[in-house]
Amino acid sequence: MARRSGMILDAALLIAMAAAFGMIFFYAPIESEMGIVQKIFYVHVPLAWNAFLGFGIVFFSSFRYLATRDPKWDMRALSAAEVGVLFTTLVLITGPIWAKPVWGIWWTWDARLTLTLVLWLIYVGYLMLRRYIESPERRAVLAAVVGVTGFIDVPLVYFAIRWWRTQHPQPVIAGGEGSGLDPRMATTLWICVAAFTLLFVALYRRRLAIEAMRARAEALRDDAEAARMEGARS
Amino acid sequence: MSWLLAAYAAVAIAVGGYALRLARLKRALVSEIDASKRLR
Amino acid sequence: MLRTAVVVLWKDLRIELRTRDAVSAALVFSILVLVIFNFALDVNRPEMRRLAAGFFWVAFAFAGTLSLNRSFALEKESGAGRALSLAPVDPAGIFLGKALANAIFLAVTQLVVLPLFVIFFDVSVTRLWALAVSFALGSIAFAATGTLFSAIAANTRMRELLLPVLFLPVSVPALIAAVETTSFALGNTESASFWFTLLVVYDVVFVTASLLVFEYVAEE
Repeated sequence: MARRSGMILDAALLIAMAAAFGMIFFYAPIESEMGIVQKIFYVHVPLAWNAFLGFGIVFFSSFRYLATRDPKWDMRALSAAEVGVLFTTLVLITGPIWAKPVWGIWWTWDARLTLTLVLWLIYVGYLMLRRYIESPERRAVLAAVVGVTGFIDVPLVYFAIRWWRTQHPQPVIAGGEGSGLDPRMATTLWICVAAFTLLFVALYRRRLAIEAMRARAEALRDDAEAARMEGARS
Repeated sequence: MSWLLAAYAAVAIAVGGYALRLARLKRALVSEIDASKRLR
Repeated sequence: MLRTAVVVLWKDLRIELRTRDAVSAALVFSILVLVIFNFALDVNRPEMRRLAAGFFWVAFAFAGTLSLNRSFALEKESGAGRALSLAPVDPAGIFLGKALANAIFLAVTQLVVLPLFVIFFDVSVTRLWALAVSFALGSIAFAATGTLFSAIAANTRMRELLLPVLFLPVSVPALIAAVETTSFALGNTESASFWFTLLVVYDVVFVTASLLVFEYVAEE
Protein backbone atom coordinates (compact mmCIF):
# COMPACT_ATOMS: atom_id res chain seq x y z
CA MET A 1 0.00 0.00 0.00
CA ALA A 2 2.69 2.41 1.06
CA ARG A 3 4.81 1.30 -1.87
CA ARG A 4 1.97 1.89 -4.31
CA SER A 5 1.15 5.36 -3.04
CA GLY A 6 4.87 6.10 -3.21
CA MET A 7 4.95 5.13 -6.88
CA ILE A 8 1.88 7.23 -7.64
CA LEU A 9 3.54 10.13 -5.85
CA ASP A 10 6.78 9.72 -7.83
CA ALA A 11 4.83 9.59 -11.09
CA ALA A 12 2.93 12.73 -10.13
CA LEU A 13 6.23 14.41 -9.21
CA LEU A 14 7.74 13.58 -12.60
CA ILE A 15 4.70 14.86 -14.48
CA ALA A 16 4.50 18.02 -12.39
CA MET A 17 8.22 18.75 -12.84
CA ALA A 18 7.99 18.23 -16.58
CA ALA A 19 4.95 20.50 -16.73
CA ALA A 20 6.64 23.11 -14.53
CA PHE A 21 9.81 23.32 -16.62
CA GLY A 22 7.82 23.19 -19.82
CA MET A 23 5.82 26.19 -18.66
CA ILE A 24 8.91 28.02 -17.42
CA PHE A 25 10.59 27.81 -20.82
CA PHE A 26 7.69 27.81 -23.27
CA TYR A 27 4.73 29.51 -21.59
CA ALA A 28 5.92 32.12 -19.12
CA PRO A 29 6.91 35.40 -20.79
CA ILE A 30 10.42 36.78 -20.47
CA GLU A 31 10.43 39.55 -17.92
CA SER A 32 11.03 42.89 -19.63
CA GLU A 33 13.57 44.40 -17.23
CA MET A 34 15.47 41.46 -15.81
CA GLY A 35 15.35 39.24 -18.87
CA ILE A 36 15.56 35.49 -18.80
CA VAL A 37 17.42 35.39 -15.46
CA GLN A 38 14.12 36.24 -13.79
CA LYS A 39 13.08 32.64 -14.41
CA ILE A 40 15.17 31.66 -11.39
CA PHE A 41 12.17 33.02 -9.51
CA TYR A 42 10.08 29.95 -10.42
CA VAL A 43 12.52 27.71 -8.58
CA HIS A 44 13.63 30.07 -5.85
CA VAL A 45 10.20 30.98 -4.47
CA PRO A 46 8.71 27.44 -4.36
CA LEU A 47 11.89 26.21 -2.63
CA ALA A 48 11.55 28.95 -0.03
CA TRP A 49 7.89 28.24 0.65
CA ASN A 50 8.52 24.53 1.03
CA ALA A 51 11.47 25.16 3.32
CA PHE A 52 9.14 27.14 5.59
CA LEU A 53 6.63 24.29 5.34
CA GLY A 54 9.39 21.92 6.47
CA PHE A 55 10.23 24.06 9.50
CA GLY A 56 6.54 24.22 10.35
CA ILE A 57 6.49 20.40 10.32
CA VAL A 58 9.57 20.37 12.57
CA PHE A 59 7.77 22.60 15.06
CA PHE A 60 4.54 20.63 15.04
CA SER A 61 6.28 17.24 15.24
CA SER A 62 8.62 18.40 18.02
CA PHE A 63 5.64 19.63 19.96
CA ARG A 64 3.80 16.33 19.45
CA TYR A 65 6.92 14.41 20.43
CA LEU A 66 7.17 16.20 23.77
CA ALA A 67 3.49 15.51 24.40
CA THR A 68 3.39 11.84 23.32
CA ARG A 69 7.02 10.56 23.40
CA ASP A 70 6.21 8.56 20.31
CA PRO A 71 9.46 8.10 18.30
CA LYS A 72 7.58 8.52 15.03
CA TRP A 73 7.19 12.24 15.76
CA ASP A 74 10.92 12.55 16.30
CA MET A 75 11.55 10.83 12.96
CA ARG A 76 9.15 13.23 11.27
CA ALA A 77 10.82 16.26 12.82
CA LEU A 78 14.28 15.06 11.77
CA SER A 79 13.20 14.26 8.19
CA ALA A 80 11.43 17.59 7.74
CA ALA A 81 14.42 19.48 9.20
CA GLU A 82 16.87 17.80 6.85
CA VAL A 83 14.84 18.40 3.69
CA GLY A 84 14.02 21.92 4.96
CA VAL A 85 17.72 22.71 5.41
CA LEU A 86 18.47 21.32 1.93
CA PHE A 87 15.80 23.58 0.42
CA THR A 88 16.91 26.62 2.44
CA THR A 89 20.49 26.03 1.27
CA LEU A 90 19.23 26.06 -2.32
CA VAL A 91 17.24 29.24 -1.67
CA LEU A 92 20.44 30.84 -0.38
CA ILE A 93 22.36 29.63 -3.46
CA THR A 94 19.80 30.55 -6.13
CA GLY A 95 19.11 33.94 -4.51
CA PRO A 96 22.60 35.40 -5.07
CA ILE A 97 22.81 33.83 -8.57
CA TRP A 98 19.66 35.80 -9.36
CA ALA A 99 20.76 38.97 -7.59
CA LYS A 100 24.22 39.29 -9.14
CA PRO A 101 23.27 39.75 -12.82
CA VAL A 102 20.13 41.78 -12.00
CA TRP A 103 21.25 44.13 -9.23
CA GLY A 104 25.01 43.76 -9.52
CA ILE A 105 25.38 42.47 -5.97
CA TRP A 106 25.43 38.96 -4.55
CA TRP A 107 23.72 39.72 -1.32
CA THR A 108 21.63 42.40 0.35
CA TRP A 109 20.53 42.39 3.98
CA ASP A 110 16.91 42.50 2.93
CA ALA A 111 14.32 41.23 5.42
CA ARG A 112 13.44 38.07 3.55
CA LEU A 113 17.01 37.09 2.74
CA THR A 114 18.18 37.73 6.28
CA LEU A 115 15.30 35.78 7.79
CA THR A 116 16.12 32.86 5.50
CA LEU A 117 19.77 32.96 6.56
CA VAL A 118 18.91 33.07 10.27
CA LEU A 119 16.45 30.18 9.82
CA TRP A 120 19.13 28.20 8.02
CA LEU A 121 21.50 28.76 10.95
CA ILE A 122 18.87 27.72 13.51
CA TYR A 123 18.04 24.45 11.74
CA VAL A 124 21.65 23.63 10.91
CA GLY A 125 22.19 23.97 14.66
CA TYR A 126 19.25 21.62 15.21
CA LEU A 127 20.82 18.99 12.93
CA MET A 128 24.27 19.45 14.47
CA LEU A 129 22.89 19.00 17.97
CA ARG A 130 21.38 15.68 16.95
CA ARG A 131 24.75 14.38 15.80
CA TYR A 132 26.40 14.86 19.16
CA ILE A 133 23.96 13.12 21.50
CA GLU A 134 24.32 9.36 21.75
CA SER A 135 21.22 8.27 23.65
CA PRO A 136 18.27 8.16 21.21
CA GLU A 137 15.70 9.29 23.80
CA ARG A 138 17.81 12.20 25.03
CA ARG A 139 18.52 13.17 21.43
CA ALA A 140 14.83 13.17 20.59
CA VAL A 141 13.83 15.18 23.66
CA LEU A 142 16.55 17.83 23.39
CA ALA A 143 16.11 18.19 19.64
CA ALA A 144 12.37 18.63 20.17
CA VAL A 145 13.04 21.42 22.67
CA VAL A 146 15.21 23.17 20.06
CA GLY A 147 12.59 22.49 17.37
CA VAL A 148 9.95 24.22 19.46
CA THR A 149 11.98 27.19 20.76
CA GLY A 150 13.62 27.75 17.38
CA PHE A 151 10.28 28.16 15.69
CA ILE A 152 8.70 30.52 18.22
CA ASP A 153 11.72 32.71 17.58
CA VAL A 154 10.82 33.12 13.90
CA PRO A 155 8.23 35.93 14.27
CA LEU A 156 10.58 37.82 16.60
CA VAL A 157 13.42 37.54 14.11
CA TYR A 158 11.11 38.65 11.34
CA PHE A 159 9.85 41.78 13.12
CA ALA A 160 13.33 42.69 14.34
CA ILE A 161 14.78 42.48 10.83
CA ARG A 162 11.83 44.25 9.21
CA TRP A 163 12.07 47.18 11.58
CA TRP A 164 15.85 47.27 11.41
CA ARG A 165 15.56 47.54 7.62
CA THR A 166 13.24 50.52 7.80
CA GLN A 167 15.67 52.27 10.12
CA HIS A 168 18.77 51.49 8.09
CA PRO A 169 17.47 51.98 4.59
CA GLN A 170 19.26 50.51 1.62
CA PRO A 171 18.21 50.79 -1.97
CA VAL A 172 14.96 48.86 -2.21
CA ILE A 173 15.61 46.34 -4.91
CA ALA A 174 13.74 43.23 -3.92
CA GLY A 175 10.40 44.72 -4.78
CA GLY A 176 7.14 43.09 -3.82
CA GLU A 177 7.24 39.63 -5.26
CA GLY A 178 3.90 38.79 -6.80
CA SER A 179 2.95 42.43 -7.13
CA GLY A 180 2.05 43.23 -10.71
CA LEU A 181 2.85 39.70 -11.78
CA ASP A 182 1.79 38.82 -15.31
CA PRO A 183 -1.09 36.25 -15.12
CA ARG A 184 0.94 33.78 -17.17
CA MET A 185 3.82 34.19 -14.71
CA ALA A 186 1.44 33.63 -11.79
CA THR A 187 0.06 30.42 -13.34
CA THR A 188 3.58 29.15 -13.96
CA LEU A 189 4.54 29.98 -10.39
CA TRP A 190 1.63 27.99 -8.99
CA ILE A 191 2.47 24.96 -11.09
CA CYS A 192 6.06 25.24 -9.89
CA VAL A 193 4.92 25.51 -6.27
CA ALA A 194 2.86 22.32 -6.76
CA ALA A 195 5.83 20.53 -8.37
CA PHE A 196 8.27 21.51 -5.64
CA THR A 197 5.77 20.61 -2.92
CA LEU A 198 5.61 17.14 -4.46
CA LEU A 199 9.42 17.09 -4.52
CA PHE A 200 9.48 18.01 -0.84
CA VAL A 201 6.98 15.29 0.01
CA ALA A 202 8.87 12.69 -2.04
CA LEU A 203 12.21 13.48 -0.37
CA TYR A 204 10.58 13.70 3.05
CA ARG A 205 8.93 10.30 2.66
CA ARG A 206 12.19 8.70 1.57
CA ARG A 207 14.04 10.21 4.49
CA LEU A 208 11.30 9.07 6.88
CA ALA A 209 11.36 5.52 5.49
CA ILE A 210 15.11 5.35 6.13
CA GLU A 211 14.62 6.45 9.72
CA ALA A 212 11.96 3.74 10.23
CA MET A 213 14.26 1.11 8.69
CA ARG A 214 17.12 2.25 10.88
CA ALA A 215 14.95 1.75 13.96
CA ARG A 216 14.00 -1.70 12.68
CA ALA A 217 17.62 -2.68 12.01
CA GLU A 218 18.53 -1.52 15.50
CA ALA A 219 15.71 -3.59 17.03
CA LEU A 220 16.84 -6.67 15.08
CA ARG A 221 20.41 -6.12 16.24
CA ASP A 222 19.22 -5.86 19.86
CA ASP A 223 17.19 -9.05 19.43
CA ALA A 224 20.18 -10.92 18.07
CA GLU A 225 22.26 -9.61 20.96
CA ALA A 226 19.63 -10.74 23.48
CA ALA A 227 19.40 -14.18 21.82
CA ARG A 228 23.17 -14.57 22.01
CA MET A 229 23.17 -13.65 25.69
CA GLU A 230 20.38 -16.15 26.27
CA GLY A 231 22.32 -18.85 24.44
CA ALA A 232 25.47 -18.14 26.41
CA ARG A 233 23.62 -18.44 29.69
CA SER A 234 21.97 -21.80 29.05
CA MET B 1 21.00 32.44 -19.78
CA SER B 2 24.15 31.04 -18.18
CA TRP B 3 23.12 32.48 -14.80
CA LEU B 4 19.75 30.77 -15.10
CA LEU B 5 21.31 27.46 -16.04
CA ALA B 6 23.81 27.76 -13.21
CA ALA B 7 20.98 28.21 -10.72
CA TYR B 8 18.98 25.29 -12.12
CA ALA B 9 22.08 23.11 -12.22
CA ALA B 10 22.82 23.89 -8.57
CA VAL B 11 19.31 22.83 -7.60
CA ALA B 12 19.43 19.68 -9.73
CA ILE B 13 22.84 18.63 -8.41
CA ALA B 14 21.92 19.22 -4.77
CA VAL B 15 18.54 17.49 -4.95
CA GLY B 16 19.93 14.65 -7.07
CA GLY B 17 22.87 14.20 -4.74
CA TYR B 18 20.59 14.09 -1.73
CA ALA B 19 18.25 11.58 -3.39
CA LEU B 20 21.23 9.38 -4.33
CA ARG B 21 22.54 9.51 -0.78
CA LEU B 22 19.12 8.46 0.53
CA ALA B 23 18.97 5.60 -1.98
CA ARG B 24 22.42 4.39 -0.91
CA LEU B 25 21.45 4.54 2.77
CA LYS B 26 18.31 2.60 1.99
CA ARG B 27 20.20 -0.13 0.15
CA ALA B 28 22.63 -0.49 3.05
CA LEU B 29 19.80 -0.75 5.56
CA VAL B 30 17.87 -3.26 3.45
CA SER B 31 20.87 -5.56 3.22
CA GLU B 32 21.56 -5.16 6.94
CA ILE B 33 17.98 -6.07 7.84
CA ASP B 34 18.03 -9.04 5.44
CA ALA B 35 21.32 -10.27 6.86
CA SER B 36 20.15 -10.15 10.45
CA LYS B 37 16.91 -11.88 9.48
CA ARG B 38 18.87 -14.71 7.89
CA LEU B 39 21.00 -15.08 11.01
CA ARG B 40 17.97 -15.90 13.11
CA MET C 1 9.45 26.83 42.48
CA LEU C 2 10.68 30.14 43.89
CA ARG C 3 12.33 28.45 46.86
CA THR C 4 14.23 26.11 44.55
CA ALA C 5 15.20 29.08 42.40
CA VAL C 6 16.58 30.99 45.39
CA VAL C 7 18.58 27.99 46.63
CA VAL C 8 20.10 27.36 43.17
CA LEU C 9 20.79 31.07 42.69
CA TRP C 10 22.46 31.36 46.10
CA LYS C 11 24.59 28.27 45.42
CA ASP C 12 25.79 29.64 42.06
CA LEU C 13 26.46 33.08 43.49
CA ARG C 14 28.53 31.61 46.32
CA ILE C 15 30.57 29.50 43.95
CA GLU C 16 31.13 32.55 41.76
CA LEU C 17 32.11 34.74 44.72
CA ARG C 18 34.69 32.16 45.70
CA THR C 19 36.14 31.42 42.26
CA ARG C 20 35.15 34.46 40.16
CA ASP C 21 35.43 32.17 37.12
CA ALA C 22 32.47 33.28 35.01
CA VAL C 23 32.81 37.03 35.44
CA SER C 24 36.59 37.15 35.12
CA ALA C 25 36.55 34.97 31.99
CA ALA C 26 33.84 37.12 30.38
CA LEU C 27 35.62 40.30 31.45
CA VAL C 28 39.03 39.42 30.05
CA PHE C 29 37.40 38.14 26.87
CA SER C 30 35.36 41.32 26.31
CA ILE C 31 38.42 43.50 26.81
CA LEU C 32 40.27 41.35 24.28
CA VAL C 33 37.47 41.76 21.75
CA LEU C 34 37.41 45.52 22.23
CA VAL C 35 41.20 45.71 21.77
CA ILE C 36 41.05 43.57 18.63
CA PHE C 37 38.23 45.71 17.25
CA ASN C 38 40.41 48.73 17.78
CA PHE C 39 43.20 47.29 15.63
CA ALA C 40 40.96 45.67 13.05
CA LEU C 41 38.71 48.68 12.45
CA ASP C 42 40.60 51.79 13.53
CA VAL C 43 37.83 52.86 15.90
CA ASN C 44 39.13 56.36 16.57
CA ARG C 45 37.61 57.73 13.41
CA PRO C 46 34.59 59.84 14.41
CA GLU C 47 32.03 57.83 12.43
CA MET C 48 33.00 54.77 14.42
CA ARG C 49 31.43 56.29 17.51
CA ARG C 50 28.03 55.67 15.98
CA LEU C 51 28.84 51.98 15.75
CA ALA C 52 30.08 51.74 19.34
CA ALA C 53 26.91 50.07 20.64
CA GLY C 54 27.39 47.33 18.05
CA PHE C 55 30.99 46.69 19.14
CA PHE C 56 29.90 46.53 22.74
CA TRP C 57 27.19 43.94 22.20
CA VAL C 58 29.29 41.81 19.87
CA ALA C 59 31.99 41.65 22.54
CA PHE C 60 29.31 40.89 25.02
CA ALA C 61 27.56 38.18 23.01
CA PHE C 62 30.79 36.23 22.66
CA ALA C 63 31.95 36.83 26.22
CA GLY C 64 28.50 35.82 27.42
CA THR C 65 28.69 32.58 25.43
CA LEU C 66 31.98 31.84 27.13
CA SER C 67 30.62 32.23 30.64
CA LEU C 68 27.30 30.54 29.81
CA ASN C 69 29.25 27.51 28.64
CA ARG C 70 30.38 27.00 32.21
CA SER C 71 26.87 27.28 33.58
CA PHE C 72 26.12 23.57 33.68
CA ALA C 73 29.67 22.26 33.35
CA LEU C 74 30.20 22.01 37.10
CA GLU C 75 26.98 20.05 37.60
CA LYS C 76 27.85 17.69 34.76
CA GLU C 77 31.38 17.02 35.99
CA SER C 78 30.44 16.41 39.61
CA GLY C 79 27.26 14.45 38.87
CA ALA C 80 25.29 17.05 40.80
CA GLY C 81 23.09 17.58 37.73
CA ARG C 82 21.81 14.01 38.00
CA ALA C 83 21.25 14.47 41.73
CA LEU C 84 19.34 17.68 41.07
CA SER C 85 17.15 16.04 38.42
CA LEU C 86 16.35 13.16 40.80
CA ALA C 87 15.57 15.47 43.72
CA PRO C 88 11.86 16.23 44.17
CA VAL C 89 12.18 19.86 43.10
CA ASP C 90 10.54 21.78 40.31
CA PRO C 91 12.81 21.89 37.22
CA ALA C 92 11.39 25.32 36.43
CA GLY C 93 12.82 26.46 39.75
CA ILE C 94 16.26 25.14 38.81
CA PHE C 95 16.04 26.97 35.51
CA LEU C 96 14.95 30.20 37.17
CA GLY C 97 17.79 30.08 39.70
CA LYS C 98 20.36 29.30 37.02
CA ALA C 99 19.06 31.96 34.67
CA LEU C 100 19.01 34.59 37.41
CA ALA C 101 22.57 33.73 38.36
CA ASN C 102 23.63 34.02 34.72
CA ALA C 103 21.78 37.31 34.30
CA ILE C 104 23.60 38.70 37.34
CA PHE C 105 27.00 37.54 36.02
CA LEU C 106 26.26 39.10 32.65
CA ALA C 107 25.10 42.37 34.21
CA VAL C 108 28.19 42.55 36.44
CA THR C 109 30.42 41.97 33.41
CA GLN C 110 28.64 44.74 31.54
CA LEU C 111 29.05 47.18 34.40
CA VAL C 112 32.78 46.46 34.61
CA VAL C 113 33.31 46.66 30.85
CA LEU C 114 31.26 49.84 30.44
CA PRO C 115 33.88 52.30 31.81
CA LEU C 116 36.57 50.71 29.63
CA PHE C 117 34.28 50.95 26.68
CA VAL C 118 33.61 54.64 27.36
CA ILE C 119 37.36 55.27 27.58
CA PHE C 120 38.37 53.24 24.51
CA PHE C 121 35.61 54.43 22.20
CA ASP C 122 35.19 57.95 23.54
CA VAL C 123 31.41 57.70 23.78
CA SER C 124 29.18 59.57 26.18
CA VAL C 125 26.11 58.16 27.84
CA THR C 126 23.40 60.74 27.23
CA ARG C 127 20.44 58.72 28.54
CA LEU C 128 21.51 56.82 31.62
CA TRP C 129 18.07 55.32 32.34
CA ALA C 130 17.90 53.92 28.82
CA LEU C 131 21.30 52.34 29.23
CA ALA C 132 20.25 50.73 32.53
CA VAL C 133 17.05 49.35 30.98
CA SER C 134 18.91 48.19 27.87
CA PHE C 135 21.54 46.36 29.94
CA ALA C 136 18.96 44.82 32.28
CA LEU C 137 16.61 43.61 29.53
CA GLY C 138 19.53 42.48 27.36
CA SER C 139 21.03 40.48 30.23
CA ILE C 140 17.70 38.80 30.91
CA ALA C 141 17.31 37.95 27.20
CA PHE C 142 20.79 36.43 26.94
CA ALA C 143 20.48 34.66 30.29
CA ALA C 144 17.09 33.10 29.49
CA THR C 145 18.07 31.83 26.02
CA GLY C 146 21.63 31.06 27.03
CA THR C 147 20.72 29.06 30.14
CA LEU C 148 18.27 26.89 28.20
CA PHE C 149 20.72 26.18 25.37
CA SER C 150 23.61 25.76 27.78
CA ALA C 151 21.63 23.05 29.58
CA ILE C 152 20.94 21.39 26.21
CA ALA C 153 24.53 21.67 24.99
CA ALA C 154 25.82 20.27 28.31
CA ASN C 155 24.33 16.91 27.25
CA THR C 156 26.55 16.65 24.19
CA ARG C 157 30.12 15.78 23.38
CA MET C 158 30.66 19.20 21.78
CA ARG C 159 29.42 21.57 24.45
CA GLU C 160 31.70 24.48 23.58
CA LEU C 161 30.78 24.38 19.91
CA LEU C 162 27.06 23.72 20.19
CA LEU C 163 26.18 26.46 22.65
CA PRO C 164 27.08 29.33 20.27
CA VAL C 165 25.71 27.43 17.26
CA LEU C 166 22.30 27.10 18.94
CA PHE C 167 22.24 30.23 21.03
CA LEU C 168 23.48 32.99 18.73
CA PRO C 169 20.99 32.56 15.83
CA VAL C 170 18.03 32.32 18.19
CA SER C 171 19.08 35.46 20.06
CA VAL C 172 19.41 37.54 16.88
CA PRO C 173 16.27 39.61 17.66
CA ALA C 174 17.49 40.25 21.21
CA LEU C 175 20.91 41.23 19.91
CA ILE C 176 19.50 43.69 17.37
CA ALA C 177 17.18 45.21 19.97
CA ALA C 178 19.98 45.45 22.54
CA VAL C 179 22.27 47.23 20.08
CA GLU C 180 19.53 49.67 19.07
CA THR C 181 18.50 50.49 22.65
CA THR C 182 22.14 51.00 23.70
CA SER C 183 22.65 53.14 20.63
CA PHE C 184 19.67 55.22 21.78
CA ALA C 185 21.19 55.50 25.26
CA LEU C 186 24.41 56.80 23.72
CA GLY C 187 22.44 59.48 21.89
CA ASN C 188 22.96 58.08 18.39
CA THR C 189 19.27 57.65 17.63
CA GLU C 190 16.22 59.68 18.52
CA SER C 191 13.75 57.01 19.51
CA ALA C 192 13.87 53.33 20.33
CA SER C 193 10.44 52.53 21.71
CA PHE C 194 9.97 49.69 19.20
CA TRP C 195 13.24 48.13 20.33
CA PHE C 196 12.44 48.39 24.03
CA THR C 197 9.09 46.75 23.34
CA LEU C 198 10.70 44.01 21.28
CA LEU C 199 13.25 43.33 24.01
CA VAL C 200 10.46 43.05 26.61
CA VAL C 201 8.46 40.74 24.33
CA TYR C 202 11.54 38.60 23.71
CA ASP C 203 12.23 38.35 27.44
CA VAL C 204 8.64 37.39 28.24
CA VAL C 205 8.44 34.84 25.42
CA PHE C 206 11.74 33.16 26.17
CA VAL C 207 11.48 33.16 29.96
CA THR C 208 7.99 31.61 29.69
CA ALA C 209 9.00 29.10 27.00
CA SER C 210 12.13 28.08 28.91
CA LEU C 211 10.20 27.61 32.15
CA LEU C 212 7.76 25.37 30.28
CA VAL C 213 10.29 23.22 28.43
CA PHE C 214 13.02 23.02 31.05
CA GLU C 215 11.52 19.90 32.65
CA TYR C 216 12.29 18.01 29.43
CA VAL C 217 15.86 19.26 29.38
CA ALA C 218 16.49 18.50 33.05
CA GLU C 219 15.36 14.88 33.00
CA GLU C 220 18.09 12.25 32.80
